[in-house]
Amino acid sequence: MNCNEKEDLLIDYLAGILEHEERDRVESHLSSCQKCQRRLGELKEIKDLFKRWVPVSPPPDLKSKVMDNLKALTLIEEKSNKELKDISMDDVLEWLRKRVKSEQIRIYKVLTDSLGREKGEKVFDYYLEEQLKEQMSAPPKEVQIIARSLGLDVEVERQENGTVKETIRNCPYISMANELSMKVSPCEAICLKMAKLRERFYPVKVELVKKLPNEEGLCIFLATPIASKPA
Amino acid sequence: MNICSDEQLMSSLIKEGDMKAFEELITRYEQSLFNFIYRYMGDFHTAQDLFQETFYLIFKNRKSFNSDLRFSTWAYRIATNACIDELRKKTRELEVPLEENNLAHESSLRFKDREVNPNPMGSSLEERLIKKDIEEKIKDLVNSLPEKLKAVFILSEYQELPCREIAKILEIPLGTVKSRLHHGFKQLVELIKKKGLINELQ
Repeated sequence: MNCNEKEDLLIDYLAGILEHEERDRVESHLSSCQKCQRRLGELKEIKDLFKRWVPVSPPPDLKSKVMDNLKALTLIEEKSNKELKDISMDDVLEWLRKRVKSEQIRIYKVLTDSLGREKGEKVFDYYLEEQLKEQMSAPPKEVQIIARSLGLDVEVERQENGTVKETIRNCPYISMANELSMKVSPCEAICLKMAKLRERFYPVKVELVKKLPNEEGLCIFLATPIASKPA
Repeated sequence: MNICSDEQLMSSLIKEGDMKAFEELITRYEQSLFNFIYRYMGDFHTAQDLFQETFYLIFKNRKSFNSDLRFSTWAYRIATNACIDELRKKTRELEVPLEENNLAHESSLRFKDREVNPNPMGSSLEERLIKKDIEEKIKDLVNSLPEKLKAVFILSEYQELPCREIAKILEIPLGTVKSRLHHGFKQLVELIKKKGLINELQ
């Protein structure tokens, strides 16, 4: 047995993965070899170090979060056999509305997993729209504020003719698309929908003027005022 | 619901839709599964997400639970797969060259040394800092293991599961578990020796 072999055996001995025979062999060797005893001592010290990484306490609301997620799932499961129109959207939305933005991916998954892609996306769409409407019900004056409340990072540039050029960066819907390995176009559609929704609250016409296919989360909208009311 | 086995709880969940039984299962495994995921992923926030994901999948797939298997084996399997999926997603996103990553790693380790050492007085705050520092280093070392070795190492060393159980969780032969455990252990021993952590950490 050379030194490396010895160390290998001692590691296995300490990890408790030796068969009886080998273990006996190692033990009888240890009883007569001080060098190996020292080696084993050193390995034990190292093994003890691993235990210095102590367990953490899970967050106190973890269980209730799991149960909350399931409520929606059971609700959808019960109704998934019926047509989409028969599902009580109010029930689904009531639950969805409580979720924060970082959970949108989970919501998307729950919906598409249980309803199938097509139906799930429809409900998700509906959810987004509802969420937007809610955000818009008392529309803030500045577009940045709306955008920020939706988790978007927007750069606004006022042009001479009163048109506002909005460049959207770090769009969470687009990073979501990447995460779900989805095509980016549905996400652009969500952005466009959001932009269009503004037309209901502001006298503007919104159009998507530039979309970049490189999925960097960037698109540019132009909001042109319809009536020439001063702001 | 005094001393029901996990499997009995699963069966009341499946047959009677007993959500209390499911809650009891979460309670029983909250500590161990959360810590397993946390150790595997090395990030508290991700662990919360993946813990939720794990129990979501357990619930969703409850009807395919095979009663030949112990619940714990099945739950660990689902958690491990959720972690692996997440790690794959992350490596795809990051695509940072490995070496660069390690360099950043080492310099952060060194930085921590400097932060701790200047104060020569053995205050309790300093002790706490050092303790934290050791913990962080062990955490970083374990996290530096290749995915496959890491899973076996954590399941054995921290979750204290027998090799036979680990083989069932990961659906690999017992011999493979032993050899991965050996290599994981050995790699960590070598790293600790190389970095001279053994003297520093005592």
